[in-house]
Amino acid sequence: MADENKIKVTIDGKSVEVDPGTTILDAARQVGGDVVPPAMCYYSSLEGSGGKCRTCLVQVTKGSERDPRPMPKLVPSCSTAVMDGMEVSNKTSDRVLEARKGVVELLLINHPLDCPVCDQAGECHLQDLAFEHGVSQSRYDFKRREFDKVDIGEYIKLHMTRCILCYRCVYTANQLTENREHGVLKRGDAAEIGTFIEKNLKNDFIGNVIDVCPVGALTDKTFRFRSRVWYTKPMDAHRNCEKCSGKSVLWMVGDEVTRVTARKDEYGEVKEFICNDCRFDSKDVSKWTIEGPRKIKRHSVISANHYSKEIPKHTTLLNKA
Amino acid sequence: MTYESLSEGGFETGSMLGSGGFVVYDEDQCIVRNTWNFARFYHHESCGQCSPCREGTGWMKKVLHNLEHGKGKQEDIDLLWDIQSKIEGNTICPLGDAAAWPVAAAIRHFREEFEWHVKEPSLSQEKNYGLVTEKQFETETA
Repeated sequence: MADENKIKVTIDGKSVEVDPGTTILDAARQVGGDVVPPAMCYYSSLEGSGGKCRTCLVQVTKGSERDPRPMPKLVPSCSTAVMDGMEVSNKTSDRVLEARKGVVELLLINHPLDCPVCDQAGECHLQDLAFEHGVSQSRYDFKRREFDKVDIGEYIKLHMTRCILCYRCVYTANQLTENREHGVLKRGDAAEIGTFIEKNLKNDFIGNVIDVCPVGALTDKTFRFRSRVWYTKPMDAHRNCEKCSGKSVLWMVGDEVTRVTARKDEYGEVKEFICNDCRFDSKDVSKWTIEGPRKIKRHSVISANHYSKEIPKHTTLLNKA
Repeated sequence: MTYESLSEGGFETGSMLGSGGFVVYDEDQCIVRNTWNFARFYHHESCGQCSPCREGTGWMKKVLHNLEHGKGKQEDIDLLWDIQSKIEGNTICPLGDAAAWPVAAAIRHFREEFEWHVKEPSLSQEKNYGLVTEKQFETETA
């Protein structure tokens, strides 16, 4: 039975009934599948996030039942609320795909593309986005912007050169700390993430800025350069923790825990944040109750798990010659 | 002059220099140099919140700097057109649109001047007054 308060919205020809006030992106996520626009800056559990990266732009072909005029501009689906009878084109609109390609190109012009030495490679949202929507060649032949690497706090390294200024970590830190200790300094393409006079971020949950970072700008100093993501095996595990839920993912090599992260859902978002004790100071299997292997998307490089397999000899180029 | 006369004379023919006002130039002004000046301004003013404007304005400025200083390539003009089309309409605020429009208008109406800058890099450095012939320039400034 249809709920009176629900409103109907159609995305790429698929209809869904949602609560009033839902954003187009959340409605698309309720539909699921390939109608979901990519999002680099929006994070459902962080209030105020979204609207900045412009990768989730969609075309509204019919405003609502009462006012069926289409919207003239592409709108960011993460911060536009649905209206009754709204019709949205995402993948079916060439204009959207063209704009998204442009945004990806612009996001990449100042990104160092140092994926081979970046710790985030393999689970990087920008990598996935560029793979799906980008072009293979860059037309940018100027110097890319560069920053020095900075230590913020005991456990976190900030590599600003890789940052795409999604502001997710800023919203995380704003929710955690009373004063604004972590924010964006300067403006334009000189803008950078910074802490107040290189102040150490000392909050029990500040390690979560690593998880919310879509690229490799904020990395775990206890994991940096230890291993590649796809050489480790993710295991669901939990422990009794006074501060947090303790539900985490252990990234294991054999019996060794190389790093601990929170559990990310299919859109790369953490629903239950974990504390620094779990993340940084519990790298010992005996402290955890292991639930089983973590389900990773089949196309992800992490699920390839080729680390134990030998390369078949007949496939190497040397043997062919 | 009214706003309507400006919009009829301006917007419908697709001419737009700047974000709302209008600027009157002599015919001896270099369009590439002025477009670079606009791009420089918008790059400086961009707040850096949304990605198309933050990255695109800087890129346009650098390409226009090359064109103006005799280091441009023919494909740079098409590249500029492409960049502005990817900024326009995709930003949070109208600063991105305003940064894209002067570049679009300059290329739409004065493409030959951009091409002249590419073909005659050294001459375009000496004569900083666009495509007006030297004789015209001398008689007018005399």
